[in-house]
Amino acid sequence: MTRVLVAMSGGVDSSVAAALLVEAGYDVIGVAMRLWNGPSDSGCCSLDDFVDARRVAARLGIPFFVMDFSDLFERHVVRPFAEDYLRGRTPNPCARCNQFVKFDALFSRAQALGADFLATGHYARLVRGPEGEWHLHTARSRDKDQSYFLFGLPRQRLAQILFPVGDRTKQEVRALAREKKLPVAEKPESQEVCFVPRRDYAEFVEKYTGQAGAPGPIVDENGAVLGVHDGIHRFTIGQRRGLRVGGGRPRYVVDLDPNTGTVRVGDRTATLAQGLRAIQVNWLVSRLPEPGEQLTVKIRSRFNPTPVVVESADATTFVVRAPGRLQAVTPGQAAVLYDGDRVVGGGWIDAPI
Amino acid sequence: MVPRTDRAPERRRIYLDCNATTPLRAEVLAAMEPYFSDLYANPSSAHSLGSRARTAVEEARETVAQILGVKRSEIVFTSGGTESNHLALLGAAAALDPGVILSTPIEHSSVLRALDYLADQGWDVRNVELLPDGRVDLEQMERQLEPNVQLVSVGWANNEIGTLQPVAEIFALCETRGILFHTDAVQVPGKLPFHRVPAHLMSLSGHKFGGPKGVGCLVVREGVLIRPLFRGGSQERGLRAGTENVPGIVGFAEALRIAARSAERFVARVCPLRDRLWEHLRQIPGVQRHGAVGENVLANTLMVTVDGVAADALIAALDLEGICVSAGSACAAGAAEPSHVLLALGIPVERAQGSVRFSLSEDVTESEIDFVAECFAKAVRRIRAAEETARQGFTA
Repeated sequence: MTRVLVAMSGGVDSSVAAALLVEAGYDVIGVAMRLWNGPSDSGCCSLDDFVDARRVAARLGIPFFVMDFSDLFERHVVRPFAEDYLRGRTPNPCARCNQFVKFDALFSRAQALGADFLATGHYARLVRGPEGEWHLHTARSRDKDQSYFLFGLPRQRLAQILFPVGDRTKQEVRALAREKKLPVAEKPESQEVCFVPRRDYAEFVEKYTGQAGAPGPIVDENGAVLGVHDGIHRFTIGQRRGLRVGGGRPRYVVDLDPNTGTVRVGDRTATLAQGLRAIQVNWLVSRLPEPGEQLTVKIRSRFNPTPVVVESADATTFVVRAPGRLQAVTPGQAAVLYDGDRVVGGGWIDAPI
Repeated sequence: MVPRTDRAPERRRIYLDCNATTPLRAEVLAAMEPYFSDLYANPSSAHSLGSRARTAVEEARETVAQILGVKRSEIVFTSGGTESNHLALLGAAAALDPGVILSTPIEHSSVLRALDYLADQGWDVRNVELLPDGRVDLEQMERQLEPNVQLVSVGWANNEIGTLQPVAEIFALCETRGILFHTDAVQVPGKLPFHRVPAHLMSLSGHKFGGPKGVGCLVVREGVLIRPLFRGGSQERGLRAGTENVPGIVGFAEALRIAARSAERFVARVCPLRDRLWEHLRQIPGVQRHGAVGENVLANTLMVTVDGVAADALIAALDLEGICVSAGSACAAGAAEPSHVLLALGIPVERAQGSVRFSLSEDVTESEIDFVAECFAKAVRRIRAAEETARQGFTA
């Protein structure tokens, strides 16, 4: 019997994923990951979530274990998250968690328990190519697609990963949960960063690092000081709200300088970049894109894929140009390249160009 | 959903987690049953049905007192080990002027947290020195028993590593100095024959020796003054208000009776099995045994750590083979945590994360022990191989 380890968060997606695997006849093991021991209110790693996951597993009649990954999670996700903000970057902790914890440490656990596959409740698809190779594709349901967060999956492991809900809509998943009488069928969505209470990133960074933000100037394109702020970790590129610099026209954050603590603002056109450079790239195709190749890019999770032309690509970096410009290219976020529905690869935004 | 019928029938479960809890004995359940159904009355009621319940509670008290060699008036029934430990420590402290309490860092969390609370209340809580196997260093302890020491609490048998403390010697040291001595003896009945209560205050818990959960007792020797945690009715001579858990108390006494009678047989049976398990496990590279050995450890307990292997992976792997073991400590969610006992004994946290505690029952057989050892070795190999693959994948 083929054995699958499924990551169960206590949410509806991973619960339905587990149920679908059981229905398909796999030998399913449920594992809930204990990632964070600090306070959290956004529906992750709370005691109730583990209880919910356990109840779903009991309902499905599968073995269930809670495993602790909190050291790894702090090292690879939480600490870099706080440090990025202090360095004027805007991190993407979910992508890092997938890359370094779920599809690495948990993958090892799956192998250790004799599982042939690791499954999660992500909305993405794995599609087999003509030569038998596996490709990561967007979910069928575009508005739920999570392929952006999954760019860091090791390519050689795609054949051993399953996304059972990737070709279903959220409505279908909820309907399945109700039909199977899963105790989490009506559980609300959790979309926020799981370890940050009340979506207050700035407060989290200050508490976690024990550093109150360093005040600094807010300057315009010409260097004229428009005001002061209480720490660059409170800002992200393209941000418009909360600047409190007055003046009639809308202004946007265009640059954050961690060395001087300066927040530079400008009008909307100043946030447009011709392209970007990405580092620590993970390719999900066997052949690197050629210069001149036309792809699309997503530079944050809520972003319409935008056409780009590849300028250069090597094993760990790429540079792409967007004929139509990219709005608010934000260092620290992921840049993920797509060829239609297929994820070509992705990396971390180093800088706009 | 339609129940699945195509799964393999559940294989025989091998339960090696008896220090966590034990199955309720059939005889005990039978003794309890009338008090769940026909004999439901409140023991404090004056009618004849109440009298039946009262009689059952007092006969249970007499049974327990006889087995422990104490007077009936020295038995206080509680809700279990945690309450007994709290009643002993907080109850005794409330009757004393704050001073010094001596204890160890390897006590059960219900003792450690009660002592934390007393420390907040102005008590000076100090640890006695432990030998590497977890035994109290008696010479050191004797020096620490200064005149300002009011209370000493040392658990008789450690639940994680099984180490037995020299409680009779500690009791003697305390008695000559007029210091109160409490021992958490929750792990003792049924696993270690004993003929006297070696303390002024001793905690027991029913479910650790074939009785029901939710009932325990505190032995309070005559002349020892403690104050109650709960106030209300005059049950348990005013030391524990609240309607008695009649079926629980009846079950507790019956289980203790059987446990006391069978302790010697239990030791004779499980000790060679535990040693056989260790003979197998010690062949695996990177496996270490913790705690005392020989006469100084519970016959059924074996605590090991495995280099570079996380306990939760091992426990899951064994569970999938039908084998129930513990890591020693777990968080509220159920994830394994590094054992505070191992950490207190100076074991590095990386090693303490790979701890597995086997606590055998008398039902386990030799061939099952061999099977457990085989599964353990296989799980360790698999986990190490998976970690190795991951490391290589990472650097590639």
